[in-house]
Amino acid sequence: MRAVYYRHDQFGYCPVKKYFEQYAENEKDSKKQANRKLKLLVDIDAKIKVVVQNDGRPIPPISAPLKEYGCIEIKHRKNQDILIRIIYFRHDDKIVLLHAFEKPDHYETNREKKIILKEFEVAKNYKNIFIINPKSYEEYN
Amino acid sequence: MKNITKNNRDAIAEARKNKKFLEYSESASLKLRLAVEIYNSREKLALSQQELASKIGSTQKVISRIENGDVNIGIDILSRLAKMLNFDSDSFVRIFGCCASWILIDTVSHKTQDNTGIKITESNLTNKNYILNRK
Repeated sequence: MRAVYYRHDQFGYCPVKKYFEQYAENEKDSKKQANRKLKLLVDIDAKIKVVVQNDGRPIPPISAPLKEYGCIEIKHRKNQDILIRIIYFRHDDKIVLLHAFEKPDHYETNREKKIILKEFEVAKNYKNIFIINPKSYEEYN
Repeated sequence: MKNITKNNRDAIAEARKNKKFLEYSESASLKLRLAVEIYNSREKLALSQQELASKIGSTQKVISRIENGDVNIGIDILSRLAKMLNFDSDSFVRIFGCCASWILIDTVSHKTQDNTGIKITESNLTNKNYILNRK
């Protein structure tokens, strides 16, 4: 099993890779900011590694199934209030990283719930596109 | 719409080149192994995070953060968790990895015993004052 980034051919990029870009080191970052970004990427990478080692199966508490969407979700706490959510699914020998977004940890309004559900639908849509064209990916290095 | 291939930066691939990446990665992996072990042990005992927290004198928030691999936990709370969740030698192997040597830590006196010729026995592990730490 290996992890890959789903590539949206129409957009020309990998949504999860694009999401991670905001945490890439920047010249303008202070040492503290750069270190914080590095640790976040390390932590996410470690969770993806665990998922790969477990053949992509849900491994609580690291990943949990989103049964309605046929996907699995990795959650990672960015800070006290924000959770990063990375959606993937298993396809043949690959763990396909479909979509990533961040949302408040606790949400109660219908509007907030709808936003989350919309993100899940985006991931499901990417999954369906990938199944039709399973060569739309880039390696997760 | 034309297909436009943009080369996104690969933030994780770039991060791997950082000299601190490996060190942080080992720490992150250890925290995750601990998180999984604590979660599985807690579920086996049918304890909620709140119940476990109450039993060890902590808070649900702390248990949640431990189970998310978010925190470096201290020896004191690790000891309390290990006792409450009935960690055995296999638990510590899963957390710390397979290793030839180990030490027993007496959590009251903080004296240690290494494994030179000393076998792990049932009495050592059931003695609630000891925890096992693999080197």
